[in-house]
Amino acid sequence: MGKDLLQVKDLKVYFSKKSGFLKKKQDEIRAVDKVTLSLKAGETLGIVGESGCGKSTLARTIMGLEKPTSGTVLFEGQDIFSLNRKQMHQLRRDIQMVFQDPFSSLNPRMKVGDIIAAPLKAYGYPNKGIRKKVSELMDLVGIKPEYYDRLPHEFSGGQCQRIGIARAIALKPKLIVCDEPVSALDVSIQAQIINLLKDLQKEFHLTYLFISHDLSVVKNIANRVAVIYLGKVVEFAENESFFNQPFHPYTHMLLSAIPLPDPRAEKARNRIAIKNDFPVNAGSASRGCVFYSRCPIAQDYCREHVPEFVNITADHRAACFYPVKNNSVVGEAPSDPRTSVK
Amino acid sequence: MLKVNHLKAYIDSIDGIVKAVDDLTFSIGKGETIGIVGESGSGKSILAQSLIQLNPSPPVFYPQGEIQFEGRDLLKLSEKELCNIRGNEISMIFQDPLSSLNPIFKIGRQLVEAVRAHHRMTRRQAEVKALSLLKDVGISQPERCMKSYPHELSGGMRQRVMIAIALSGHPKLLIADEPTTALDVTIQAQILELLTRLQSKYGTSIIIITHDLGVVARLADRILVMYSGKIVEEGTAEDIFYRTSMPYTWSLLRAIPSLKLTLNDRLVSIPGQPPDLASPPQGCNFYPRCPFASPKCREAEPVLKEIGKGHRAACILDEETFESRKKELEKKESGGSMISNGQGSVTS
Repeated sequence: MGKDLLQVKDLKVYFSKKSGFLKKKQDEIRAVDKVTLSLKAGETLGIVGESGCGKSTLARTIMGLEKPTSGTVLFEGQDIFSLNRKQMHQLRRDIQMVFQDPFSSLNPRMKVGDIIAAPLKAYGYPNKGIRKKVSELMDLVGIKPEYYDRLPHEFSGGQCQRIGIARAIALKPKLIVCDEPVSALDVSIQAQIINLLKDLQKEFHLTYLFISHDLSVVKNIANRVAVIYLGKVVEFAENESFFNQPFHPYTHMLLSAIPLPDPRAEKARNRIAIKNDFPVNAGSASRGCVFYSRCPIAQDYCREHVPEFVNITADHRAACFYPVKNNSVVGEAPSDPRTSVK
Repeated sequence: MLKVNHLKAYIDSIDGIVKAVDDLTFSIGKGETIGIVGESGSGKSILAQSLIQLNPSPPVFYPQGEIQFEGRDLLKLSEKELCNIRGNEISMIFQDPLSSLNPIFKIGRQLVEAVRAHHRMTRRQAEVKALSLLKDVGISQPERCMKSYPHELSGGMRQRVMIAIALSGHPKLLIADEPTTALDVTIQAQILELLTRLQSKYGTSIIIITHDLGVVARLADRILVMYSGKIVEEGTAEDIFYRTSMPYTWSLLRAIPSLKLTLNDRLVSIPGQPPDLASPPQGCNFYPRCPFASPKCREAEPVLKEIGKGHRAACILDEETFESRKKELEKKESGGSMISNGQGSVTS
């Protein structure tokens, strides 16, 4: 693992929400709220959270598609928001994206070969070599090069996702942002795509920002994992430490929501009851811990105070006054917040 | 309660006749939950829609079979009689809750309409009933929900509304077609919880259709595994998960990204794509993707044979050979890493 390829510092992306006639009221939606992350070359960072937690906004901002309210995104040490158009064009070569919906991310009127060739053409790849290059790419992702002239609707979801991946790797980018790349696929096909992404990473030394709502998928691909709740990172650690001893009650809730393919274990399981739906409009008004309203171990203290994002062990950070111990949320006796957080 | 006998549902398409549901037999008792598991394109949705004939016909037609529901064959009923059954006795929840609700009407109006379609009530009475239904499915502010448009609700809320609509006629059987596929894991857990609770309250039978074996592990009493229009394995949840007897079920189980695996483990995927139903392969349909395939599999289609009480599987391998082959393969895999590729036929 090399040096930091991407650094996100105190990134905030707020959207204003206008309501009432003639902008009477204005409220902010804090889609990304003071997020700090770093990503080393060659590793995969998993970002986990429910829909609406701001993970896609974070991805879009890193791609330079959204303007941040404050904070910086450094790619190879360079602030991507200080670049002019020409420099931005060059940057886009190095950051590519794989989308969630494999069908709507491919133009239905273009031949799949042309779809994969599009980024090559945009960056002046010699016309003569394109067909050969595209065939190589198709081969690499497991699509027969003979299918160059077919249209996207002739392929299944998994195959379309492979085509999307071929397009993303065409320019040999340094960073690929994968926004829920497997959540629209069948389980059997999910495994194929995850394996493909891992193989390509090894071969081309790619770096992934892997966004998902499913921790079991992230466990199989990410070196480090960040959990996001309402725009804030609430837990961040290396894969092993993260899954061995998750500290944040929200992480426990996410883990407990995953159905186990094992009826006996499933019946014996002590599931954390999930309170409420995901709060969509938590505006600026909320005080205290963002997770307070759904937290299974919330205390009065949490309602009034915002937990700092701190190191609980050396490489494991979480934002909670009562970090979960012994991997059990149920029946936990909360300790005093001022002594448990150092 | 519901008995399906040798049902065939074929689709007449440009590429020829697609055997979406091919000779299916199963039954469901009162208060029972059946899970139907299969990949996209295995015919499970066509099956679900065939049960209350929501498929446009033509192109779908039923060359054979019967669907016995409380002594009547649903395939022989008139459209009017079917309308009385739909919603009142059998109702359905669909995968995408946004496209199943009408975007230009408020939830209240759609729910009241559903209630009044099933009960003789005044509008006022129907509103009261609608509110209690929304409370039942766990919506915290039912009054506000009634006044909202579908786009103002989250995915989980919309699916709850769909369940409320489906339950408005107190059906005896609820068919849930991938009810949680479009949702987050947390919302999925809530919806599954809700289905179990409502089932014990109303004694409804449930047919739940999914591609994720994890989803049915907790819910289903019995599980049918479908592959290219046919049942390939059938049994209790215990049979399917602990006495797996068909290579396809086994492969599906292994493909689930499990929390037991670590970062360096390789997921086991099923190579290739599900077969094209217009021109299925010769012999066993799973033959081209099966890790244990032998030339013999190609000769004849395996029949669904009884291997335990209520446990049926369609594979020519007997139990012993299957067990030893599984061990062999697992041993081989732990030795060297496999390179996966999804090279397969394009669906066209």
